Amino acid sequence: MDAIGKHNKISALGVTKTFSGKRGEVIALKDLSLDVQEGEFLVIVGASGCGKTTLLNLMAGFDTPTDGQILLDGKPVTGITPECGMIFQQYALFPWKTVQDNVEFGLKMKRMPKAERKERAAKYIDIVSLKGFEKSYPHHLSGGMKQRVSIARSLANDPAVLLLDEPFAALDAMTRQVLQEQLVRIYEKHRKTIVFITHSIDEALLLSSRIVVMTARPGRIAQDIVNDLPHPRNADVQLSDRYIELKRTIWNSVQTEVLKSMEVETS
Amino acid sequence: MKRKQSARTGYLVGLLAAVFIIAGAVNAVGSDAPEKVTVVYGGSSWLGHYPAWVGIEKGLFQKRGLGVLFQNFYASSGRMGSLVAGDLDFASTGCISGIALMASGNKGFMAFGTPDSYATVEGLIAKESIKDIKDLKGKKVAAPFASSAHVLVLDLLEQNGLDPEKDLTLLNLRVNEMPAAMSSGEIDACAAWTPHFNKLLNAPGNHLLADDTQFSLYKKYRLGPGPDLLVVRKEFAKKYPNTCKAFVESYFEAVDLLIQKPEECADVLVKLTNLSKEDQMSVLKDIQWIRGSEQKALMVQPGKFVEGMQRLAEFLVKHKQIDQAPNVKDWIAEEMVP
Amino acid sequence: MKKEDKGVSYLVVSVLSLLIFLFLWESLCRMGFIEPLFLPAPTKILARAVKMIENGQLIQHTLASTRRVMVGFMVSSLVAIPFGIFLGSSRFFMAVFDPLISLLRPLPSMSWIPLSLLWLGISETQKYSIVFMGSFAPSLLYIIEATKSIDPLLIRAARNLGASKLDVMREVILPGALPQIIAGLKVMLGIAWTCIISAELVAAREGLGFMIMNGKEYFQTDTVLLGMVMISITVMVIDIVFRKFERSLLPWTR
Repeated sequence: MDAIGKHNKISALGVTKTFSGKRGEVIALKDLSLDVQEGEFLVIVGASGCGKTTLLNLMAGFDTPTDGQILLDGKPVTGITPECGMIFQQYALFPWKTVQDNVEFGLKMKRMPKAERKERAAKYIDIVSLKGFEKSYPHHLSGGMKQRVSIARSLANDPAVLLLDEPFAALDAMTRQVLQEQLVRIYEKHRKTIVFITHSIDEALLLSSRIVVMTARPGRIAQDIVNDLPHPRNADVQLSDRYIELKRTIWNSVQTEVLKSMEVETS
Repeated sequence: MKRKQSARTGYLVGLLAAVFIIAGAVNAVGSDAPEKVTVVYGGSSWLGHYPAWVGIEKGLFQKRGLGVLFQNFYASSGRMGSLVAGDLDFASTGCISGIALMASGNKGFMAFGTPDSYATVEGLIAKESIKDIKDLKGKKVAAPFASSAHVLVLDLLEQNGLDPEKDLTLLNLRVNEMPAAMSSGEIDACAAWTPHFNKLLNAPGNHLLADDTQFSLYKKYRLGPGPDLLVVRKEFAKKYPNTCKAFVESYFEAVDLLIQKPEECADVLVKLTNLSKEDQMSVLKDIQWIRGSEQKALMVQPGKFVEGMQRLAEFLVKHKQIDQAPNVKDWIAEEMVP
Repeated sequence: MKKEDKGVSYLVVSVLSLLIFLFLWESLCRMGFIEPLFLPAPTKILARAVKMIENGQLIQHTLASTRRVMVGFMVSSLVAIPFGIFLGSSRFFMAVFDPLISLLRPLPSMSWIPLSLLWLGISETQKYSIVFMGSFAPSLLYIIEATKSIDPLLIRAARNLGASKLDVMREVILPGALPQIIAGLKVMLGIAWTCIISAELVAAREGLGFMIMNGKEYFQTDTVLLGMVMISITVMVIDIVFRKFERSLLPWTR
């Protein structure tokens, strides 16, 4: 089952998640199974409310499945684990800490000595091209810069898996493009296992090595395809037939699910 | 027929009632009957208020057409404040408060008598280890500030060459907080008046250092550090002279009753003081009442009491308790003194 | 009109209104409309102030009260801050202590005098304890609120980066709630000062509370008012100093 040299980094096994709210029970995910290989850049696309964020939260250990389990390197995830570093859409930077201190945070929690922390943080600040901003406070930075700090902070902590929940949705198109390119470069250099959520099919095609489309609530997998587009995914690639072919199939899946979810809401 | 008869009866009753009312009014205006029939007296369970209480309980005020309301105030300062504010008509006050109010320049009240003298129920009590007032050096002494006991302490210290600011620690403590502080050893001596004085004296390990008889002005004028002063609101006195006269007469009749029939008075006093009959009798024993007939000599001519108060005022100035000594005589309502 | 000009002209309005108020007050007293026992003229209060500055008493009283309030308040804050953060972070312990806190909160400082006398006697500690009891419960509740108002996302992010529950309290909640805590402390300091009269009622021989009560005994209403004015001025001065100090504690809010 496992290919030689590759193994399941993180898996969801028959995961069901129900929330009990004021309007009764909501089944966010139903019997969802998903394997993510080590070194994969998996992008999950889906309609609003399909449970993508819930799945990510289960992977990070912020919540526990009602049924089924999440396995990380073969071991079940039982609580919040720093091995699944999360990058939030709202950045979640500590406003009272400088860029340097933010990036160092995970290392400080690991009780790494000061000098070592500083050196390591400096390396990652450089990777996200924020050298010179070490002493700045988050409220002095633009949205794009804040997200870069967030990425550096998670990376510096050397997690097994990187989880990103629509991280670039709040940024303008140009900044988004820059950050996307930067993320791809980091991925290529470090080959981290990445699970990335987005609404944008283009973004999925640009970044991923594999795309999964999730159904409307209750969330399951509607489509699972390998993204074989060549790197770098420049303008030529983005205008190629293969790109459009992939985009069309994904588009159709997503459309179907969006309509289904609208039915669910109006019923 | 019946209707006409009842109408006529009604008419007659109405006429008779009118006659009585007019007669009564004429009577009141033309005679010495009190103009105001209800007056408010400010007091407490302190012995200075015994005559007022006895007067009320024994109907002596009522006899002369007065209804007296006894209003409780723990401290003289509160009582005096209420008096000049208009909430009280008469009161008895520690004369320290009286002098302080005079010194503040307030002319809203007048004094018309001094009902009692007590020199052995107030004093300075200390731990057995302190034999002499001079031994108080470096120790902690408590007194209720702005009271007669406070003045006693200042005077005793002065007589013995001690400075309350430099030679020892003088603390402000209420009399009912003293027993606990003495027994816990937080203070070495305290000054209080009866009944707390008696309680402190009876506690083991305490003894009397000095009482009011050691007060410098007592030695000279037989005046304690805080005799009681009978006061009335000035505008009240001006407006209702008959009422005041009736009050003064009834009051000193009560004083006479206290002198002649202490046991009978004790029976009603325990309602005020909550003491046992025995304790009440023993307190009465230590009080020297000053009769109505003796007031004139003390208050007006030759006015030894007033003179003594003037010396007391100067004493207070010397010890920086008040800014300047008032001319006490200006506050004596000579026409009201019996 | 430039913004700075407007600021200056509002200051002028405030100063003028104060001067007019004092002038009216003085005039009413001089014309005999107000009995000096009930309200002395401002010049009389000023004269008393001069007298008490000359003999050193005013400074002595002010320093004594300031010491009592600051010690009581600082102990209260040092206990309330960690305890409040702890309770704000744990629903279980909050439920455990809630009844006790609810009982303590409405109690005025004066109601603690009898118990404090029994437990602590007439020492200075007893006075500190009155200030402590008067400011502890409200401070605690305020800090709990400040703790709860931290963005839960930040706590999540911290835990995701490997912070333990204790780390979160120290590294996220404490600095995160700090601006709100400091703002609350300023209000609490004012509340602590309202305890000063109760604190100095028993066995004190100095302090602004003592000065006010003693002045009342001698019908020196000018002393009473001077004491009240001094309390206001002292609180204002402390507030200004606090504000300067606050800037250096919160560099990220600049």
